[in-house]
Amino acid sequence: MSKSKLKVVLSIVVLAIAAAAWAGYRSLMRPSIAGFSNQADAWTPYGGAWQLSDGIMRNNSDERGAKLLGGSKYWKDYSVESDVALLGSYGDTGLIVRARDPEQGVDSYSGFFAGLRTLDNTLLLGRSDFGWEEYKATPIPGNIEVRRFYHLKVVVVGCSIGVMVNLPGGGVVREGVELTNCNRTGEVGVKSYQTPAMWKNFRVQPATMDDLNALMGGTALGSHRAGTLYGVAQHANDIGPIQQEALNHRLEGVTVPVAELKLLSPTTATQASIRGVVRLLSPMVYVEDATGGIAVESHDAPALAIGDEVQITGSISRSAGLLVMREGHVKILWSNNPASPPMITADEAATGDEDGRLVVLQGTLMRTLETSGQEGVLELEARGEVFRVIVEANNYERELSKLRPGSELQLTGVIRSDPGFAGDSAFALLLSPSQGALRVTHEAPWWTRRHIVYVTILVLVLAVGGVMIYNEIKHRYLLHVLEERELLAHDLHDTVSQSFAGIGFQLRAVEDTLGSGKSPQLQLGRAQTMVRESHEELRRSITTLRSEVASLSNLAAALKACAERLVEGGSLTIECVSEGEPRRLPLRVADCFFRIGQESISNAVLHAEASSLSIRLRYEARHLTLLIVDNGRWLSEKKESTGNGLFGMSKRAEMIGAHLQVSSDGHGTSVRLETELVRLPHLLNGSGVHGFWLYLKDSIRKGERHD
Amino acid sequence: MSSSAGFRRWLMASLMLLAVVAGCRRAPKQITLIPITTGVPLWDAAHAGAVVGAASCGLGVHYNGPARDDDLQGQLTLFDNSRRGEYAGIILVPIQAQALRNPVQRAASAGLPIVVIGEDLGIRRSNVAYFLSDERLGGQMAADEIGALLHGKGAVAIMGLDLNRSSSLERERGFEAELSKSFPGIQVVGRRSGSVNLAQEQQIGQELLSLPVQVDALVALSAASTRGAYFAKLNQADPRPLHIVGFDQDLLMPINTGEIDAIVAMRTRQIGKMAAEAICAGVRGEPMKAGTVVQPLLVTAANIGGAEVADELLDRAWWDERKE
Repeated sequence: MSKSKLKVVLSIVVLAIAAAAWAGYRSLMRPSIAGFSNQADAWTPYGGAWQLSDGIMRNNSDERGAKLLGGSKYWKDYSVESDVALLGSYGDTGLIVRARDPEQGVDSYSGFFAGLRTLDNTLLLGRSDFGWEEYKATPIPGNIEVRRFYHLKVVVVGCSIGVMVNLPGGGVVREGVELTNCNRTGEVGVKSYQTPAMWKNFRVQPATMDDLNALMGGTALGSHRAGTLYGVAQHANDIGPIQQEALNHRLEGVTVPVAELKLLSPTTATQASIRGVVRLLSPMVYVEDATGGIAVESHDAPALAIGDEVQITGSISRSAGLLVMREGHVKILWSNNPASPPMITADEAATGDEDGRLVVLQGTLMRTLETSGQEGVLELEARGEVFRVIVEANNYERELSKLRPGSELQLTGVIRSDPGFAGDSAFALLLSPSQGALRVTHEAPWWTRRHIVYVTILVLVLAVGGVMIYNEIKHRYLLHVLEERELLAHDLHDTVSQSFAGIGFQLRAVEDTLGSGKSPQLQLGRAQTMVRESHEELRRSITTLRSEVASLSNLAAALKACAERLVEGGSLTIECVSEGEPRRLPLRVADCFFRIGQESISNAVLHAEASSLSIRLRYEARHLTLLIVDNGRWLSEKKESTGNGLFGMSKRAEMIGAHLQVSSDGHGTSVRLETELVRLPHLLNGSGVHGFWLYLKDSIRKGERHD
Repeated sequence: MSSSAGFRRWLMASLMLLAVVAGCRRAPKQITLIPITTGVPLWDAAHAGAVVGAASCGLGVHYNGPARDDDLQGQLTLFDNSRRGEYAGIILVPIQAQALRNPVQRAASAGLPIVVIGEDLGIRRSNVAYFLSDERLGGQMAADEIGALLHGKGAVAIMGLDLNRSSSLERERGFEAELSKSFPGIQVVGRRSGSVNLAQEQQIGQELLSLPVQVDALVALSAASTRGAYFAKLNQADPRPLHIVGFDQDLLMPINTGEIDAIVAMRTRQIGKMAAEAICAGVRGEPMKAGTVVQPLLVTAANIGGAEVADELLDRAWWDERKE
């Protein structure tokens, strides 16, 4: 692969990364949600008991201010719409926009809420910022029907917010405000206050001022400037809804404490009325009063919620000590926040006295038993008691997948002791769907059998990888040594070998001369000269082979010192210039430049008979250039004595990917060596990182050569 | 200067700057106010007052509390989070004095200015202040109102007594002491403890109305029991005249219709404002006044439309004053 091709590939990779980053950014910034499905992880509950079924999100709790938030806190201008239904007769429910900094609590977020309120039958719009500031409460003609879906749409653009509700009869109610100060971005969500509620067809999409104007349909936005920011329903101060609420809670007949129901006949069903709080809805309804809990197998209230204070009249039977009510007629007295359940120990739960009660238990997870599609069963141990926890898989899919044996859990649920749920355990806990019912108090230690196997495999892989890398480094080191040997062989061939050949030739000439009776004085003189020159050459070679690492931190100075050492006593003028900001060079680069520079200086001093020598070292942003120019004999004239020296220089330049150019113009010889410098942080320069970069370049170059 | 020396200097300077930045803590910009609950409007006026008080020293107010009046665990968690968070101080209305005592002690030991409203936790430090409503006086006010309503003769029942709250006990003591002193012709024929469960309070109210002795008036010592008494009155099978004097301003509207005669209200807005100002003093390093007792306000049909009630009890315009 050529350098240009490499650049193209790198450019494409960079562009692809940039495009992916841009797409991610756009996706993050573009408001878009369609329904609740397939986005279970994208929603965060703050209180409530949430359940998603057939595309309908339902909060089964009467909690004040239960909310479910999703989307991105960076979303800016958008519309949110959904079909909304209240399931309780007292409370409000609707949509949240531009939510920031959410916490669990009643109005504990910074944002806006638009919804339907049954207390005064209004469409309301207001600001929530850890407190409630109500802007608008517009009466809804015909009042709000419980369990009926209303299509609610909110558009927020800039600091203007509009909300519209479509009425079942075909009409619409609109209201909106234009604020001077608001959250410019924020998440979306749904919220219900003191009532269970349902949402479906939830949709979020980008919106503009045109969308807001279309939603408002000519209705003016209320503003502080115009004195119309606040507009509450005319009958908002009416005592009527409060009186009505009081009358709704009238108790009928006499109720029996749950504990007393245990004394009813075990053989015949008895009609009785109980009063208590709904604690669990699935797998069956549980109602609890101060004396105990009872399961309600069938009843006539489709919209019961956890926390509902109810009066139920029905047929009560007792079998195996467990109370069951059937065909219950339910009257919802109050919609309350469910009270916190008591914490008990597994020993207490195992006595059976707490059957049917909502409690908090702690235990250590032993294992997850085989689960059906709808239900998960956990087996826990606490204080020697083994018990089961029955979990609705739909509600706890994410949590179940993360549980590890050995973890300590805190669980909230209803106790059941019958073998149908408990199996061969002491008892079973039917886990509540309310948020926080399943908490991991202590994670299992990491040294489980599976983790130890994983870690062992990882260590083995790392060890094998390390050995392979070590062998590769060693191999490359040997290759480098062999290359150096090759260069050394060339040097010796240039100098000592040639000299010995010449000396041998002269000695043969001496022998021939002696055979012919002539004096061998001339040949002996030449041989002595050649021995002396060879000795000088060898000494020089040995000198240059010594490590100069210490001096390589200042390359120009090292080259100048080298030249001065070679011309010591001579008349050669040396000029040494360093241009640009000197910097620390990778060792291989510095060594290569020094060796090639040294060889060039040596050629100029010993063979070219030059009178001046110029050494220029130029540091540029991405390049390093060495230029050595002498005014001696032409390259062609000294070629016979420097041929293999040039080979060695070329070889060294190739090893670091540098470009070497040797030229003569009739007035001397110039040697130009140039290489590209990789911009690396100073701390990394000279380390293995640069070596790795060179290795990559070298590999690419070799691959290209093989092609 | 060589490049490596330059780099080293740059690196040193960066590390020093980083250390300075890491060592610096941003000055807290908020006070946190943790009421008993944010689920009823009783404490919203305290929020509004605190916003005004905190603004005097350039601080904001973070207002959050449990959704239920009896969620002690939730309040403990909120307090603990606030203690660890970056707040200039904490204003707390404890659900239960005993349970909050140690957490407050720990936070106060760390030097955080703390104001406790409604209960005396017994912690005496220069950075802890208490703002208490004069509960005994409130009880006396209720007794005087009952005495006037019954013209000094009749039977009353007390509901909503919380034996774990000194404020509740003080209310009852003040009421009965004043009643026996000034209106000996009025007898207390029943006493019931209370909870925050409205259904339970309604049931208690109905039980009291079913006593063999006819009850002429109910005195409800908490917001929940006041609502329970009101609902019990409306649900009487055999409607008869019944006076109700309640405590805490959760339900003021029936005063307009005469269904509730009076409510002894806490001046929560004033208390909230003074509490935030006390935190401001603590932030400035000034000693905080240990205890302040605020007189309650009797709200009746005669004054419910007046400026005093509007100023002291309603939470209106807390946002306007702060932001718009």
